[in-house]
Amino acid sequence: MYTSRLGLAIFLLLVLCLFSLTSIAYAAEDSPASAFVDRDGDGFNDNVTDSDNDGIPDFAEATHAAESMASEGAGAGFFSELAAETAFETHLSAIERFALREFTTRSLNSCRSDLARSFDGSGGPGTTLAGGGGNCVGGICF
Amino acid sequence: MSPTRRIGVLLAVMLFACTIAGEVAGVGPVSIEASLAGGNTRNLLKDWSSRETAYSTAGISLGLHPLAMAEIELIGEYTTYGQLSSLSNFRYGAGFTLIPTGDSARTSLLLSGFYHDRDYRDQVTDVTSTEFSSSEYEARAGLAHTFTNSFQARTGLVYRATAYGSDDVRDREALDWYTGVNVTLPGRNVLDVEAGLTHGNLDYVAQSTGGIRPDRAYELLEQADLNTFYFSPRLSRPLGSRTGISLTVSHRQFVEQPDSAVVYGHSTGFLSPWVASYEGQAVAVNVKTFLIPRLITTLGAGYWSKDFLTTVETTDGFLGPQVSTLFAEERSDEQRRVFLNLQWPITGRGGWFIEPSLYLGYVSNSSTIDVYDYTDLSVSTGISVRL
Repeated sequence: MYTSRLGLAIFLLLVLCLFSLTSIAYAAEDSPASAFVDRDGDGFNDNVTDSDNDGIPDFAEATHAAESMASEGAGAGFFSELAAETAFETHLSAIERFALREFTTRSLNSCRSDLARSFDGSGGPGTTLAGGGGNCVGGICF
Repeated sequence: MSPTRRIGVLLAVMLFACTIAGEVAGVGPVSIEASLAGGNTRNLLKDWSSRETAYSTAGISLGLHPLAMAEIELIGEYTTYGQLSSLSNFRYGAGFTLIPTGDSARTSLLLSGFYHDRDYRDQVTDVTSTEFSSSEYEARAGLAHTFTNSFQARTGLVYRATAYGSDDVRDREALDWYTGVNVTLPGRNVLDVEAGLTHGNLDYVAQSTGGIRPDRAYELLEQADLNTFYFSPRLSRPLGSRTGISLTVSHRQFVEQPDSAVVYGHSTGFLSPWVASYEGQAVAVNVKTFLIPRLITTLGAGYWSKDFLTTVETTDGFLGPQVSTLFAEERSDEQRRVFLNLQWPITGRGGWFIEPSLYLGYVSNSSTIDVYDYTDLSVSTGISVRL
């Protein structure tokens, strides 16, 4: 038990060191205009463009050269990109317009009352469409 | 008609009806998502039985969009188990999501709900003598307000209920109230703090009860409230341009519970829906990365310290099939989990989307009750299609 707790404490310290060291680098780059928003907790800016809606931001799909250009402007360009998307909303289908609204409620969908169920988000039988994570067998969810 | 054929017909009718409704009756376009998954788990029941089984799941989800603010969803999903065929079940139902606030408004309102039925292939499973065919209901209302670009506050209510097909087992109900804030700190650190209360019901056996006869097991149950408080801060941030990390901590505590409450466990044959209720601490680290081209890679590691309700597990050898609460024990578990999830999204010009995926998960659980000393290795692959 003691070894287990000690191991956990060392692991947490390492993670927190990682957070603080990389923060110093980003603090120098950030400006008030380049607001970083992460409501879903995946560590990425929620507002980066994902034009094909596949879950991978455009900058991560670009070639190395294009990616460098995109990353330079990723922070400052965010509000102008969002404004442009809003202007085009009238040309979107009902599904796309609903997706835009759904995006604004992403922090309301995840209630962390049971971290054990939301931990891995997928995997396990009976959880592909209707499940919220976790493993439900015989009426009991573990 | 066989169950498999009945399910096939039902899914076909759902698909046809929704397509017709969407295109002809003017309820808006229809989005279709279908998935197939197969896997193997070395310990399906998460106990010392180590029941290894293969499983496969097929599902379809149809989304109707009568308005830009609304979605109506119909789902059907069949899960079959290779070695425990009596657990094979069909889950189906309907739900809705309503978001009356606009996508550029500072205030967001979310209203949603669903009803799902889960029917087991056999009325009596080999997990328990109780028939666990069930219906699940959920209703949710959430409100978020963005004060500045770097500060958002939210609150919400979630009502959940599970109604069991068996008259012996009382329906389980819970009402969650949660509230939280999301703040962007300097250096692209994001702190999200959430706290909440859950008010639910509980069926239990009093510790003073002696021998439990199988035919009277459910008559002995008493009713009470089970209230839980939780507090969960989360820190997230990017690591470079293609990787994000989050650290989540959680504290969960029973606020009110009867001191003498005992719930039926796995080996008694009267498995209780409350056997999985716990209080304790947890910490989890999740990493999401796009370092491998075209893949979404997610890794996670977590540790849980859980104290469960007092559980009666041991079959009384002197009384044959009877069980006695004299054998009820305090249950404390320590659990470690790691997982790796790979997704390969592919999109086409017409808006179609295909995503093969691979999941690997490992759980190690140690408990003060031997029944719950176990490990489990799960592997599954799947493919989702969205049209």
